[in-house]
Amino acid sequence: MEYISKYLLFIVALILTNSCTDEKTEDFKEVKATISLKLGDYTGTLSNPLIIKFTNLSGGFGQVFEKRVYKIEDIKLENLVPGQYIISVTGKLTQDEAMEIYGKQSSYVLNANLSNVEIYDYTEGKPIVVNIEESMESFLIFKEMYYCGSKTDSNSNYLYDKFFEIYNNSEEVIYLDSVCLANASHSGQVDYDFGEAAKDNLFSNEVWMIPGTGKDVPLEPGKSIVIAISATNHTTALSRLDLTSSDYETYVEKTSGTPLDYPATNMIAIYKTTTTKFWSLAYGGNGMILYKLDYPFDPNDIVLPSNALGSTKASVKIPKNAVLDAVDCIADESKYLDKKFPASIDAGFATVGAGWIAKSVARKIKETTPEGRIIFQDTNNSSEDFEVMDTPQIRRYLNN
Amino acid sequence: MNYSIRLYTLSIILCFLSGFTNVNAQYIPSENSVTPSSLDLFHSTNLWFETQNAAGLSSSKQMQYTNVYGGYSYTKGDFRRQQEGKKNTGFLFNAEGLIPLYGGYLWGKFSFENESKEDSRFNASIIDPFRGNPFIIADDRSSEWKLQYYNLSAKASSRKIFNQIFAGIGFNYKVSTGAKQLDPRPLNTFYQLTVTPSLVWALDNKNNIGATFYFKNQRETSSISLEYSDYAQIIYKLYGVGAFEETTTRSARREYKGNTTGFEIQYGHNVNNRNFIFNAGYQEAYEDVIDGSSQLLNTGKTLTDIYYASSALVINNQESVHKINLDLSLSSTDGLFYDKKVDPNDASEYVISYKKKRYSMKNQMYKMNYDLFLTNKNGYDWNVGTTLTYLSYKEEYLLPQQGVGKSKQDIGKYNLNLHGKYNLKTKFLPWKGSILIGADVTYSKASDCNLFYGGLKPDHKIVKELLVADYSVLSANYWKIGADLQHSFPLSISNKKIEAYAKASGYFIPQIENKRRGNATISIGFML
Repeated sequence: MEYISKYLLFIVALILTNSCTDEKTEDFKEVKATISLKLGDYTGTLSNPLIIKFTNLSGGFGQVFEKRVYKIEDIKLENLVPGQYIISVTGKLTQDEAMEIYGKQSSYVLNANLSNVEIYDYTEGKPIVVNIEESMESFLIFKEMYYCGSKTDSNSNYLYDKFFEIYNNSEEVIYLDSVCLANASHSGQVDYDFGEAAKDNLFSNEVWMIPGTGKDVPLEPGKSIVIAISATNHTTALSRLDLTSSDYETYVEKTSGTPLDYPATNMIAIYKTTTTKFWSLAYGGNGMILYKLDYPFDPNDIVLPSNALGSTKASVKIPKNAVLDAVDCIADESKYLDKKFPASIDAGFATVGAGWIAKSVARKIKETTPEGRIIFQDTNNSSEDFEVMDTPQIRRYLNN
Repeated sequence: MNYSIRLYTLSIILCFLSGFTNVNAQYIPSENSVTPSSLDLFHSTNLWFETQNAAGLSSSKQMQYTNVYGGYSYTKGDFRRQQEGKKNTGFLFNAEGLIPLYGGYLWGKFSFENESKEDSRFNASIIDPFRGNPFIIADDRSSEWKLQYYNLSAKASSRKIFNQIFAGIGFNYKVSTGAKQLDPRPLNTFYQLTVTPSLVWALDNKNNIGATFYFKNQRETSSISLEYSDYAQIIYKLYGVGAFEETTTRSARREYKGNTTGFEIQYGHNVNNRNFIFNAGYQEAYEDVIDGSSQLLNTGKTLTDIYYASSALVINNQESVHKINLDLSLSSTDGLFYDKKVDPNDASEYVISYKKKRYSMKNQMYKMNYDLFLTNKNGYDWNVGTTLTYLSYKEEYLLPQQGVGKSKQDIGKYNLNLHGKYNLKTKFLPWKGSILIGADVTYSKASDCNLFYGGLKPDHKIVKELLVADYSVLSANYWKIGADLQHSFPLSISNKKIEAYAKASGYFIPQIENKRRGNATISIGFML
């Protein structure tokens, strides 16, 4: 019996020794990273802080933290949760700084946006270079965007109650004649490759223009216009939006079918490659562009992406320096890779989170002047500037 | 190392015990008929049968039997984990038998259950959400699951080879299907095949040593779709201890697949009326969790080590049988977190960018049991027993957010059970039958329980309505009262003696924080 007991213990010990020393994989641990900020050749300090926002999207957890810095230099970070990050930077130059850096005494905002930044233990020794881009402050802005659509009482998808509201955020009158509204070209799967042209241009296959000859359409400071897909009272949609007071609608001339031509002034479809008899915007979000050319629109100024398929239509070029405002609307936060604009155009994105849910995104109020004029937030980062509204509303906060 | 010390200690105690006792073979009824109590007693005292060593069937004389029954089960109540149904109903069928075959034995069992699980929440991807895999796709709607379970098992043992060795093989084949009845609707199929070849080496007439090798392959696929596809449904990919990813979907596919390998060793000793066995085993398992239909990539993976040991001593006197059991099992599961990135060579594909252990679960179970049977020629007149069990579950999720080391849930439980059965035989019963009356009561006492959620969304429903709600059930002190009645009577069909029976059993958990739960099961069957 004794020898059996010993034998038994020996075997048990053998099993345990073999198993307990088996190190299968390492624990998930905090890591370090170095962020290397670049603003051209400038390496000095800034009067206004640069706000660097880190969003860890690995596992969909979306943890966000911010860091404020005043100097263009390398920043060392510790105790980060490993993952893939979006790093966005927003800031503003004083006119003196703009003069020193760019030779122009203008109002510049600073932005940067990097997606899919890998921060892991194996990237610890490699600095993450963040190139900060400048853009002029915009005075004509998207104020509220209702792009996701609604449902009918019989649960069908409803397309026609969408609208865009555009606001004069400045203290001067802005003339809207020939201001264009466009949605960025996107294949829905893989980003189009426009090659060298993408350096200075955005691209669209549907452009609508406000009619006017130069000074026909003034927009007073603190006032807005509403551009509806269909300027009617949408009583059958769950949004119950009454858009009869819209200033414009994007009507496509046709002999029958919906939407009909309502009393609002019709926008001009100056470039339209889709065959739908209305402006067919994706319920999952679009890259929306507001721009104005300082030369006549040329419908032949078009380009085909190098990865075009047989059915791909050519896109019209929109010079980046003609952009007044642009907002990257995406389907939901997990689809951040669907972003269409670089950081100099929109460092973030706006989203209502799903299609057909009758919600809108509206710009946050920054301040109200003593005269009662609302100034909306415009940091060129839609993730910061917009908030989700459960009920879309035209001319929210305004009396016009 | 704690595991090692405990196992060493237990092994010493068990060997010490076996050295001071005379031991022996299991109970075989002296009358040539099978009754509920004789089958009960046979299973309780058949020590090799409780191991996975099929060859052990031949190491002692076995009772030949067939037992077939069908029934209906009804469970209802709010004292439950969220992924359990509020109301579960099901039909079940079970057929089991053991026969001598070419000098050895053949045992087989088939069972089928058709279950409807109503008002279950937070599970849209897995048939058994409690089988130890934390990677579950969930939604928050109360929904019905329709489930079917098929289970086929067999063990075969040989006659003695070379006058010293018994060979055996066991297998188990499980197939389950499940379908959730509300969007998002997973359609699941689960398959599992276990093969356990084994040997027993008869050292002499008293001592046997056995070894079993264990191999299991399992796979579960879940195809999630929507009946009303206009609405993309919100789903949550759970990672353990309240960690989750929220996304929307119109269709999704998840697959769980993995293998388990392991072995057991046994030592059996029987002398006169006493029978002792020691059984210890180790299993190592992995299970990949794979999402996608066109490009298959791991979302997670579990790696599990299981150690277990048990010993049992049966003392079979003329009029009574004593049985003492000591069992322990220790398991440790690591959950690997996989991060993905866009493939630098093909923007439409993803590649794994990072893989680390982020989740862990450690379970411990220690159990002591004592049973006393007052026997007769064909079973027992009464049985009383007690079981004390200690259970511990410890789960961790590392770095739920920056600056927080871990989320964790610790559950410790002592369960004290008292049970008894009385075999009532009286002339007043119809058809010269007998009634086996059983009752049991369990008090479950929580100890050292705590929950800490360190993630970003403490107010989210996954935390409040799943993690915290489950914790309140797991950490509750409660009583559980059970009873069963089995009326059996002999029949003679074609000169064969058959024992027909009808059985009713159930349990009730009285009110805990305005929640209670109860079960009733009825079945009819026969044995011969």
